[in-house]
Amino acid sequence: MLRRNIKSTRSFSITASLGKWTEIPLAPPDKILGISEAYNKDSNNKKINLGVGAYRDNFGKPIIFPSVKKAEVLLLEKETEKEYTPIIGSKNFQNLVKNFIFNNSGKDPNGEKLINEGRIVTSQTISGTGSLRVIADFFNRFYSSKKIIVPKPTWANHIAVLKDAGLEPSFYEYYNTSINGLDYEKLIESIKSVDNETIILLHACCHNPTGMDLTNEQWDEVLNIIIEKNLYPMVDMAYQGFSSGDPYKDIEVIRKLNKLVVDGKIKSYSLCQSFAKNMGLYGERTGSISIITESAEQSQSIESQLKKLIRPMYSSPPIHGSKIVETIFSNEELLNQWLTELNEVVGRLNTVRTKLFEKLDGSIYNWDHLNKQRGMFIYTGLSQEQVIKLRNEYSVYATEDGRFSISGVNDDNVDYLADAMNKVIKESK
Amino acid sequence: MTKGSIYSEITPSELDPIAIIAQKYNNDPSPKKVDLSIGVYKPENGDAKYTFPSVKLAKKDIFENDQGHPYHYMSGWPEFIAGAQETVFGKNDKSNVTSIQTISGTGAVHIGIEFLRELGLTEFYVGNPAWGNYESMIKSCNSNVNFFNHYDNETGKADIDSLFKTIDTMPTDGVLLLQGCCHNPTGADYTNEQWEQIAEKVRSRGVFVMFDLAYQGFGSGDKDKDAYGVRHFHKQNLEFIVCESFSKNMGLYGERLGCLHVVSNDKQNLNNISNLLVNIFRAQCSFAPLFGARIASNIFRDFKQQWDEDVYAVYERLSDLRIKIAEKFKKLGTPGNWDSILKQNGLFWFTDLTPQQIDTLINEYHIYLPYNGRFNVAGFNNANLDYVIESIDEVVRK
Ligand SMILES: Cc1ncc(COP(=O)(O)O)c(C=O)c1O
Ligand SMILES: Cc1ncc(COP(=O)(O)O)c(C=O)c1O
Repeated sequence: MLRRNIKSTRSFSITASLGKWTEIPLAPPDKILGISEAYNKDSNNKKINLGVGAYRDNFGKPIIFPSVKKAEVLLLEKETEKEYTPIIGSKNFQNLVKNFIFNNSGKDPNGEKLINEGRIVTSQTISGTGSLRVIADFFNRFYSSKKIIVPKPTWANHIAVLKDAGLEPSFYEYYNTSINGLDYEKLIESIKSVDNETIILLHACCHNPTGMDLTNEQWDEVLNIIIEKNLYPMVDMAYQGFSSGDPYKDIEVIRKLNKLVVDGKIKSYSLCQSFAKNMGLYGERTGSISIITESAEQSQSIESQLKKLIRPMYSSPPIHGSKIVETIFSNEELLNQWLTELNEVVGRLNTVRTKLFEKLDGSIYNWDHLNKQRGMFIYTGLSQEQVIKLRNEYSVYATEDGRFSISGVNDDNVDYLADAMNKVIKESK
Repeated sequence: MTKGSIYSEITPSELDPIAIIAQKYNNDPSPKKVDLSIGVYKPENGDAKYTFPSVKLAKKDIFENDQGHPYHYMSGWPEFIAGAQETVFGKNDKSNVTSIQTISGTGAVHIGIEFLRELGLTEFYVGNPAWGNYESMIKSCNSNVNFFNHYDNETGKADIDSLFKTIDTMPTDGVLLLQGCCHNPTGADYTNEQWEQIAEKVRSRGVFVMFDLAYQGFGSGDKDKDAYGVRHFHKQNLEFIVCESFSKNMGLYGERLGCLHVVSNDKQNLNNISNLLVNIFRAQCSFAPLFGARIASNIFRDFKQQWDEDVYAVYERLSDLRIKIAEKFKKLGTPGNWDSILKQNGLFWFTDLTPQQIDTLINEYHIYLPYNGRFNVAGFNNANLDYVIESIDEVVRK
């Protein structure tokens, strides 16, 4: 929108050599950053930041996974910045990631078959955002439809990324705030009503922002519609492991898709994936895309086209994060250590989730949905006014859609938070 | 969907020419083989993994004071941005500059092209021969590329008349893409006087300049001197953008560290420009990678002098090799004019060897370079220099 506006409203004046860009309108500042700024300025020592989408420990501090640190120790002497990696990342990175995700490190025969048949093309990307962008550009060039549907609501940046790449995003029904739950009937209805061949974006687990995922049976039904209508599944997986604590358990939908491909029920699907959260590599920008293809031969074409697409954008991906991933995935001891650490992180999130639930007054508001939601967020159902009230009167900072990043909650502030929430609910009755 | 393939239109795209050469080199079993193709600095011992001493120090510091890997700012790591501005603009007043960290130099050029497209600037003018990536980069953003002649084969220098003619005749909403120093692939740069003339002409025509600065410091050994063109433009109050890469002058290739600087005369509007840059970047990457930015920030803060020395050492070695190469040609009396090696700056030496001659060098002498005749000077060393120049001598005489 913004970008179109500039083009259409801007009549570029040839003589205006000075101040050529005076007409650039102010773009809306990033909401989450705005919240962090306001939080930083607040002098209340009880203030709580529930805006950031990054993990904090029980003391409110960001963590470095000890396994990641160990990998960095190993790399310190060995790693050289010197080499450009290939455009789509190193073969080693690609293979390790493929094995980890699609073969669940030896636990998914269908995924293994697809790997062995050369039917998965994997490319390292600039984290999850970059993977979404590249796949969107790829669809824009090569897929039969530009239409893509995303759940309502979805990650704040999805629409911008997809539109910017020339796709035409619209929403499918997902969540109903009046019942604080999945609107499953409407979801089915709205998927059924889209044009055949439309691309459908699916959150693999820990749906952002609602934390509400489909059940096994619901996935099956949705996948059946996908088969019937020949929709193209594009999976976004930014929180692998954050639902159950176990990355292998969290990717039931990938296993289901692998089976459907092997059984010939669908031809292809794609996965956009990020190590930002589950390895705590946020700022290092490490992720991947994988495209499941129809044949090894097609894989070669697709791989070469991905290279052609990425090369003019940024040439090649950054290596520090990918070397960490490679180090962890190729060392069994480190891999197991990381799995344990991730499990502990998720364990903490679930513990505070339960604590908060217990302290919230269920007699004035039904909080049952908190226990059904998974991942880094709780989607409270609080109204915009209530969120603003929490901010202004209690120094509790969250986005106005009522999404709380639970990792901002800990033993020290959970009572204060629950109390503030109870009060705000009561006052608006 | 009809039967058949989902991706029916996809056919393999061809490999990058440099990648083909690299592949051939890797597969060549000959112990004599010499790689003079890809534009990466190597020290005398040919170690392709050479790390600058300043980078080593910076990494050690990061490691000992580990601040982890958090999300940072969509406009980039602030200390890095400040240092990157300092590197490019020196002591100039930088209050009219806004910058965004990018995925190295390529990412800076890419975001630069997209940014200018938002302003309606889509006609690019590029000196030929050019860095191989420009054309596809400009086209992939749906902008247009026009070429003018950059290199004068007779003199081995930049063809300044061709540039002047281009400035005089190009549309006023066109963008002139100029390499700030150490031109890739020709090594033929503009002199300080020429930069001054260019700035004058650019001002009077009102055309827009996009600088690409990928080898700052390799031209003279002094990063400040190499930035003469950019800084002169800045002092003249011209509006322009600069695409900066730290791949070469910090040796951070794989970490992908770069920066896009926008100079605006309307300081009121810097905020809007910054927001537009962030919006473009957010829809592609969200954030730029942190590790390289931390290395650079440490260097700017604590190891600046070491870095200056590291860059100077690169320059010294390259100059030394250039002199040795010229002497060797003289000694052999090789037919033709080989002075260009002494006139050109930076990592590259651009020759007019024909594709057939290069084919012979590759296939019979195991000497690898791209077919445009560009040698990576840093690929030479005391062990292979005589062999390579003697081989060229033989091929030229054939
Ligand atoms: C659903 C979803 N997809 C993708 C991303 C991309 O994150 P990143 O680019 O940091 O990997 C996020 C990050 O918050 C997300 O929530
Ligand atoms: C002229 C020129 N510009 C830009 C670049 C960008 O390189 P990088 O993306 O590694 O910073 C290069 C690299 O070879 C170059 O030669």
